[in-house]
Amino acid sequence: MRSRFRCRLAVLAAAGLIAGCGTAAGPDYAPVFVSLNGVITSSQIATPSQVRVALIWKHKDPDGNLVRSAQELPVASQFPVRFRLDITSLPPLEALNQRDLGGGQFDPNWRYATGTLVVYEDLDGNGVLDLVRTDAETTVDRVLGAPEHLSVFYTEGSNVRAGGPGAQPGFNLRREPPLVDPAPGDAMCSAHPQGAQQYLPLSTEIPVALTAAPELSREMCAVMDPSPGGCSPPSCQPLPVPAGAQLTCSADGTAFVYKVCPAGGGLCASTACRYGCATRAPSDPIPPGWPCP
Amino acid sequence: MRVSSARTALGAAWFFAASSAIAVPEERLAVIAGANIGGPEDDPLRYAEADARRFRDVLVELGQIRPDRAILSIGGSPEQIRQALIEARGRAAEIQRSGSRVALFFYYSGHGDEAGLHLPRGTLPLSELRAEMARVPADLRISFLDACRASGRSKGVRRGPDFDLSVAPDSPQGTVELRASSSGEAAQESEELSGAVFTHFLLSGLRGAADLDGDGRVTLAELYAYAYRRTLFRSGVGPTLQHPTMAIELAGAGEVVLTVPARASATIEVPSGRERYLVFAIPSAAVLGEMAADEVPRLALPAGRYLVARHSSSATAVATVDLSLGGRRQLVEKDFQPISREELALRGGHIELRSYRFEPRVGVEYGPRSALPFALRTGAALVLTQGDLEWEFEAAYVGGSASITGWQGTEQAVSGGPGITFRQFFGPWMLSEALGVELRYSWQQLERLDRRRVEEAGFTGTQSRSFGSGGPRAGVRLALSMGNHWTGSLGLTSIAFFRREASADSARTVFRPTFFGEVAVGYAF
Repeated sequence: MRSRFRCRLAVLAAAGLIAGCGTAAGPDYAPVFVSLNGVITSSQIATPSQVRVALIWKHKDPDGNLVRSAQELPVASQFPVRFRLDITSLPPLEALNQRDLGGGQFDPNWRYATGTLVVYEDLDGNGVLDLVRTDAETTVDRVLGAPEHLSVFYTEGSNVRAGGPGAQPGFNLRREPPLVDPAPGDAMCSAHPQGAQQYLPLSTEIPVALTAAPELSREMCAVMDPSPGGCSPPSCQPLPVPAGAQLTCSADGTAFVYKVCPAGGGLCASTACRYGCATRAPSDPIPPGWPCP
Repeated sequence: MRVSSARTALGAAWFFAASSAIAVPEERLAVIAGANIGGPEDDPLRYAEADARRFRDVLVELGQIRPDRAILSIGGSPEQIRQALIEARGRAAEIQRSGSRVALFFYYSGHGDEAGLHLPRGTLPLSELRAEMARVPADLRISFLDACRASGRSKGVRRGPDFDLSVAPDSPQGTVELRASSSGEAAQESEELSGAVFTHFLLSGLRGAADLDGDGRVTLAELYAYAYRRTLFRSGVGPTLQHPTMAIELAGAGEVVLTVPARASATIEVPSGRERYLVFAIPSAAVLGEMAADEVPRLALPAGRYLVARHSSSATAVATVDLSLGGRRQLVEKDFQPISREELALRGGHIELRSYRFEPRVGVEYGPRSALPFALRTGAALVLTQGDLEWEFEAAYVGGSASITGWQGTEQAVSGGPGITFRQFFGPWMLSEALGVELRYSWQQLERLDRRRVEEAGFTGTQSRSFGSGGPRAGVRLALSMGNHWTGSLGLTSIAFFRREASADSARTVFRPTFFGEVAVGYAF
């Protein structure tokens, strides 16, 4: 009787041990590379039911077009206040850039990608953020919000350590400084960041305001026209100043900057402003068409 | 001419001296009744109904009676037997219209007395039974009455009146009645034989043990001579003697051939000697017949597996015979293994000479929605056989390519567990239904498809995981016997596996049904 009880106990123990030890990788096994934490700081809209989060990777093609690819992120927590995002796959290969070594040379051992988180309403319920064509007039889904001046920066390759202070191999959270217009007399005649990029701990809460602002829809453009590049004097040909340009002159009138921003255009047309600038010595004669007194 | 009921085989042999086959087309009918429960005063019998079934089986196997013409009434009332005889009457008339002779067999096993057969809901008077049989338009009527009279489990029917006999130069026509005992005697049941003594020897005789002339046919004379002699001998070792009797009212010439054992699908022959052999079916352990080696050392059987128990004055021994595919098997001395009298008496036909079986198995496993959708499964089972049941323990290796999105690699496992099987025999085939438990320990060696990128991004590109699974399993197996030792089988099994599986952010217990098919070769020892 006693030995029978022991035998049953042993069988049960063996079954329990086997069933209880270890975990298998199932067919959909996807371990988390990085988890990001977000918080909804404000909401000017009623939170819809089909809210999802995607990571939009941005990549410039050889023609200068901005190409986007979306990577869906599982949301571990529930809206409306806090959420956790698990990144379980690497950025797609098409989102990767190689470090430009100059002279048309690129470093194959230093690849990177920059992405933006977007909170969107999955209007067609297909579970993915639907990017639209360049000539699209409307979008399929609706972007509700995106963190300002925060991006996900990803690097891979054997030379990744050269990625800059604070950048680690893999996923990074990076604060992007705001872009400011050039001032009269600046060496570069284009918008430039005000301050340095800053790498933040991955545990940093990412603030997102849900505004559903129309300009957020542009995040869903798969390809955007190239932005006009800047120029540096004297290669710029700023004169004559286009009509309607927003002009800024230096106090002594020897330097100016103007900005022409496109009006209208399609959903995915470039909205980047074009700048022009010039500087002259106080003793130089005033060139014809010089806009500043 | 009037002939008194025969008491000895000599008397019967005198009447059936001529030897010829059935000369004219003959169609046979049988009404077979058995009732364990008799009247209010009768103690229940154990084997009467089983005897009736076995008698029917022998008539169908060897007696040239179509199964649909063997009308069986088990545990029924007098009315049921009357109805069975009325049905036989109609069928006999139909056969006669087709121009064939009709032979009617009637068998009864149960309680009875001088007046009639004791059935659960009344008594069927013997006079009425005979009258009902007489109404059946048959050329030949043969009845076998193995009935119990006294309290306890002894049996008896009083002798009937003598019959007139007239000889005519054609096939025998008339009535024959064989009874288990003489007037005032009790017929007996036997635990060892799992049946009534008289019926046991009737069955053995019909299966060929009575075929003294060895012509492959058992005639009425041979059967009575054999059953009389063996029943009397057997009852001689008990408290009371039992003298079977036969009453005959026949006209015509030629023999009444009851069965043709030569046409049996399987035959067992035993070595000559003075031993007595009992044949049990496997796995039912039913006694199919008995042979006396110094008389007729062979027995006709249906295809199947058998245990042959040998009794001699000094020792007992057993042998197993696999005649699943039919055929003839001559047992020799080395086929027998000694066994104690006590064990043989205790277990009878349940003795398993080769109760263990080793069975290497190989097959394919299918696990839908698991990381190992297809895998090779190879292993072996050790099986212990006990009658209709088998206890088995199977151990197997399972291995194959892992199928995980974004990963490649292998999964291997050791798997197995105990099980219990219920087996059924269909000729040479054995169908088993199994229930058991499967326990499994698995190893996964995984590598990301983008391993190089992942590692260059500072993450790990490979993983080794181990885990356990467990759950109930159920399956069926179809086995074909290939002799005394070997079997080939094909099995299908399903397992309800439960295991812990990792998802993106946690682990949870999941249900993973798994199926596998195997082929196996078993060796019994």
